Amino acid sequence: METLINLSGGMLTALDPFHLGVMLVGLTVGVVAGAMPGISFVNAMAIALPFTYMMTPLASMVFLGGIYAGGVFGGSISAILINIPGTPASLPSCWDGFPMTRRGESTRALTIAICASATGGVASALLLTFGAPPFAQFALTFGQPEFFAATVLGLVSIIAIAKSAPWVSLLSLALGIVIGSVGVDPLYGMPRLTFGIPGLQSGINFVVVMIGLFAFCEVLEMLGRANHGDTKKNGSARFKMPSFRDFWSVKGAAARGAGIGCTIGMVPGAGATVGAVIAYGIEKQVSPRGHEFGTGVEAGLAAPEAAKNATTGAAMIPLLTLGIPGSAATAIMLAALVLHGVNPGPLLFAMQTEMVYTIFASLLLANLFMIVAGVLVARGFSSLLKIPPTILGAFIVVMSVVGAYGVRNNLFDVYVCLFFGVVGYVMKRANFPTAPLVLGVILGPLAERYFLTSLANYDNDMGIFLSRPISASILGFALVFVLWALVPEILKKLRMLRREVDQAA
Amino acid sequence: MDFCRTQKDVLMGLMAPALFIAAAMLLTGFVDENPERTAAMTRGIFGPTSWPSYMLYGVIFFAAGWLLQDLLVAIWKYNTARRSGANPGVQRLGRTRAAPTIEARVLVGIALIGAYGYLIPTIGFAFATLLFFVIWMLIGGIRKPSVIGLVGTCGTLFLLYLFVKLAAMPLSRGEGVFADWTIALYQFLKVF
Repeated sequence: METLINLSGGMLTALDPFHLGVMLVGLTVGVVAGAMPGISFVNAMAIALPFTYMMTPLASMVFLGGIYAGGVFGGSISAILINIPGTPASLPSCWDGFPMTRRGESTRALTIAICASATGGVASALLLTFGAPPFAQFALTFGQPEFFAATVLGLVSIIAIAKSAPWVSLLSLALGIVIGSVGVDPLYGMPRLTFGIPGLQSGINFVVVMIGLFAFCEVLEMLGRANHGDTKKNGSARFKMPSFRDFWSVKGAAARGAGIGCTIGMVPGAGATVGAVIAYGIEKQVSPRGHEFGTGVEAGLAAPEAAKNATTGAAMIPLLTLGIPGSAATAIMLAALVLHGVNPGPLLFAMQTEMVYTIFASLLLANLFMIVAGVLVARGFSSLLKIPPTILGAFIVVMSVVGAYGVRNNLFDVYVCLFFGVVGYVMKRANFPTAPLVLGVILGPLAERYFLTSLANYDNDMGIFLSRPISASILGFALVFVLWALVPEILKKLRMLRREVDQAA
Repeated sequence: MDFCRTQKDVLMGLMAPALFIAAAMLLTGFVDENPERTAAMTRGIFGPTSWPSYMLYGVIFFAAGWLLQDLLVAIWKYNTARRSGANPGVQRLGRTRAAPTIEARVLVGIALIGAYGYLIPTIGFAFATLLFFVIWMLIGGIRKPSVIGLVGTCGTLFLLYLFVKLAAMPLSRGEGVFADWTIALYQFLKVF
C-alpha cells in the first residue's frame, strides 16, 4: 500500500510539465540515437551526460531514463527496416524482423516490435517499483563484506555470459580492473601505476573510458569504411498506423520475453543484448513454429524485443539499491547521480523516497510514451539515414570530446578518452570483448574499496567473506557462475583433445 | 581473437596473449612507486599496491590460459587439415575477417582527433571545432565546398549554442588573440 502511495506521488511529480518535457526529449533522443547505426543509446547517454550538469538530480535521471528506455527500442527500427541493428541488443530483431520487411510487412513488424518493447519495459518498470524497495530493505543488512561479494558477483557474471571465450573475457575483465586501479588507492592514499604523470594521480574515470571505447571507436570504424563520403541510400519503408491485433497474436512470446528480460536484467553485467539473445533462443525452443525462425516469424521478433526492454528497469534495481551498475547505460546513470552528489544504495530509498518513486514513475511513463515516439521516429527514419556518415562522425567526435572534458573539466581526460578510442578500435578489429573491460573499470575500484575496508574493519581476517552467511552465499553464486562458464568449455576442449589423441593413435 | 587464414596469421594470433603476458610482467614493476612507504602501510598480506599487483597476476594467468587454449586448438586444426589432405597453409581456420577498412584513413582520423584535443586550449573550442569539421569532412571524402562550408559553420554555431549557452560549460576560449576573437564571437552570437 505504501508503495502505491509513493508511486502515485512519484507519478504526480513525473507528470509535472518540466519533468514530462525532459522525459519526452530524452525518449526522442534515445529512439533516434538507437535507430542510427553507429550511435548507440549508450553513446547518446554518454554524450548527454554534460547536459545533466545544469539539471536537478531528479531531472537528470528522468532525462537519462528516457534515453535509456527509448534507445533500447530504437535500435530495432533500423534492424527491421534495413537489416542493420542500431544497437547490439537489436541483433535478434534482424533475424525475423527484416525477413518480414522483405515480405512487405514492415508495418506489422514495427508494430509487433514497438508493442512488445513497451510490454517488456512496463513489466520491468513495475518490477522495479515493487521489487526494489524490499530489495533495498534487504540490502540495509549488508556490510562491507556483502557489498564486496555482490560486486564480485557483478564482475564474474559477465564471464558466465561470454561462455564462448571465457579466457579472453576474464583477461579483458582483469585488464579493466587494472585500469580502474590506476591512481591513488582508496584507503592509504598511495599512488599506483601513475608513471609519474600528474593527470593519472586522480585515476582514470570510467565515463571517459566508456566514451572512448564506444563513441570514438564507432567513429573510427565509420571513417575506415569504404565509400565513406557518399550519401548512402539505406532504403525506406512506407509506414502505416500500427494495429493492436498484430501484437495480440504474439502476446505469449512477449510475456515470456518480458519474464526472461526482467530476470537477466537484474544480473549485473548481463544487459539487453544477452537478454534478447537468450529470449530468442528460448522462444525458438518453445514455439511450435521454432523450425521456421529466421524466415520472418512474429514470435521470433516479439520475444527478443520484449526481453531487451525488460532489462531496462531490472538493471536499475542493483543500481539504485546497491550502487552497482548492471550495464554500461546504468553506469552512466550512476555517474550522473554521483556528479550530483547523490549516492545510490539502500539509504537512498529512506532519504530520497520522492526522487526514487519519481524515477520509477517516469520509467513507466517513458515505456508507454515510447509507442508514440517509436512510430514517429520510424516514419522519419528513412530521411535521417541519408545523413552521410562523415558528417555524423564529426558531430559524434566533438560531442564526445566535450563529454570527456566535462567529466572533470580536464583536457587530460580527452587524451585518455582518445587513447581508449584507439584501444577500443583495435579490440573491435581483433574481436576482443570490450564489455568485460568496461565492467572491470567500473566495478574494480568498488571491489577494491569494499575489500580493503572489510579487511580493515575485521582485523585483516580474510575468512570474513566466507564466515558471514549472505556474503558467503553471494560468493557461492559467483563461483557457480564461473563454473557454469568454464566447465563446459574445458570439457569441450578435453573431448576435442581426446579425439585428436585417438586419431593419432 | 580471430583464427586467421594462414599459419603466419595463426602465429600472429598467438602473439597477442604472449604480448599481454610480457606487458603485465613489465607493469608489475611500476605498481609500487614508493616501496618503503608501502611496506610501512602493509598489514598482513594486503597493502596499498596489493590489489593492482594481484590483478596483473590475473592478467598473466588468463593470458597464459588463452595462449595455451589457442595453441592446442591451432595444433588440432592444423593436424586435422593435414590429415584430410587440404593445404594447412591456406586452410580457413575459424571465423571470417571483419569487413575491409581503409586503415590509413583511420590513422589520419586518430591524428586529427588528437590534434583537435591539442588545439582546443590553444585556439579555443569555437575555432578548433570549425577547423576540425572542415578537415574531417575533407578526409571523409566530402568535396563540395557548399556542404563543407554550411555544415562546418552551422555545426559549430549549433554546438556553441548547445554547450556554451544551454549547458553553460566552461569550454576553453584559447590563448592570446584567439581568446579575444572567441569572446568577440560569443558576444556577437549572444551566447556569452
